[in-house]
Amino acid sequence: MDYLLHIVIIILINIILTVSFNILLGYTGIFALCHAAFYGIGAYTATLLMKNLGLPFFPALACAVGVTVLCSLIVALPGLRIHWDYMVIFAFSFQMVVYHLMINWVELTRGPQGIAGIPPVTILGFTFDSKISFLLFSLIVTLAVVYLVKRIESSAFGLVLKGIKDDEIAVKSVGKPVTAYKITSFAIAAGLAAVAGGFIAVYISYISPGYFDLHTSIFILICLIFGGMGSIRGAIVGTVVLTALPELLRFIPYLPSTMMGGIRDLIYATILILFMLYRPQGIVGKASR
Amino acid sequence: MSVIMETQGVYKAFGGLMALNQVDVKIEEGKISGLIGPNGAGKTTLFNVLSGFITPDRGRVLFKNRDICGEDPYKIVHLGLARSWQGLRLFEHLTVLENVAMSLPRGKEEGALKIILGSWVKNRRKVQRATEILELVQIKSRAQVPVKELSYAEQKLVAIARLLATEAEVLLLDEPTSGLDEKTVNLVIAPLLKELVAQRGKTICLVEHSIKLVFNMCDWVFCLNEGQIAASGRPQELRQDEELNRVFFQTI
Repeated sequence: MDYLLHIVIIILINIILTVSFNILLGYTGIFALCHAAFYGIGAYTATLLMKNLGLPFFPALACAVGVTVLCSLIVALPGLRIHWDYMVIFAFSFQMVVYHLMINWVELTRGPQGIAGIPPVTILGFTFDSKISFLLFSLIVTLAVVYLVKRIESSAFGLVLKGIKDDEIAVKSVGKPVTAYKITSFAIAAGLAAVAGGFIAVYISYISPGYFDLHTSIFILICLIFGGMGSIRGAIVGTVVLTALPELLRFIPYLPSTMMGGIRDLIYATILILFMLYRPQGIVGKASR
Repeated sequence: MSVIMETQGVYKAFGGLMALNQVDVKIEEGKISGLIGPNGAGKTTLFNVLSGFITPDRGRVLFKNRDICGEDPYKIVHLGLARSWQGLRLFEHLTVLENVAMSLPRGKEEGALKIILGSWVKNRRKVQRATEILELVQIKSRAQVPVKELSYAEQKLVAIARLLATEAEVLLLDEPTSGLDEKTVNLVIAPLLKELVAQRGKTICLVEHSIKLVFNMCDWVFCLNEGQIAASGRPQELRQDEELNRVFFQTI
């Protein structure tokens, strides 16, 4: 039972990641493969504030969101002024730099060993230390994030983001400041990834750079492509299926555990190639729109 | 009537090609001006310069007596000058209503939070204004249809509707009738443009290949050739110029 609850909690946290990445890639059309970096910055900031300064979870999470939003500006401000192809490389480089900082800035992050003993969330004297209580807690937060993204999708801001994806120059010609809109969408996506980071930290009570590497950014991307870019439902379906699917591998008899990582990557790569070739709109998306 | 917009000695070169060479035009407020010329004459480049998408190498572009060279295109729209595109550049994945609503300027009552989180469909002012514009351009019945499912003629109307949604006073229309049959032009586009000027206080400058349409609709015509203004004047004056008829109008 605990194992099942664990999978559901991971799915909920991953949903925060994919629906926030959807703001960038699905609505605005910005291909920035560095979402795991924002996830990691959020996780490390919240962890360090809780462990070193003794801040409670929510103030630490708020600071983590703030720090991550500021970091997102490092990518967005110069990156969104350059041509699309260079932006892709720029974001990719940011992902690599952040990952290597997590590994090599040992005094702050404890390097590859990671940080253990992260305190659980406590609200009004109640500690969310059981799986079921944490599941309910993360369900509420994930629903809140999904609702927020839904509001963004149906707002005037969301409409402009979709316009930017269609034709950036046309958006300028109707009087909208494209760069400001893109920077804002970047900041919102990064801030929400930081929320997921704070949650994974207090849930597992341990973080290490491995959680926030390029693999994770690619995983988020594949979830979105599989489910359907530009659709909240697609992002959720993609995340649920692709988070749960590799877990089924555990039940295949005689499969050595050392091979599971490789097989999982093989499945993801196959899904990515097949969907890009035959169903680029994803499982949920409509072919015509 | 006063001059609302003018260019003074505008030059623009792309490598060795002089696209605009000492171009001086004056657009009068509340009038329809036409810009004609053969392919490659520099008409669209001039539109790009006027709307801020290209900065001229030399010269000035004055809009309401303010030099707008180097301004961001979106700021020029806020000042009151907007343009359409020869290739339409509509938001194809959005519906007709969404295309128009998105182009409406931000209302005074709309704070940043309302813009980001408030449903635009529930913004009565926006929906009402967008619907009014669609009614004006006679495409209200297609409001909920994604633009890419429309015919080319309908897309042309959406492009005009989107331009009107910016609420700019000066509208630059790049080939608004190209690809349309004569009936649509005479019954829909031409009366609409005349109404915009006569009853809604707009100033229009249009690029056109149809000499007939330009002479019928415009108050003033600029003839552009190889990046230079070859002639300009009232249509009836230009029509009577035999040299211009023989050398210029036959080539368009």
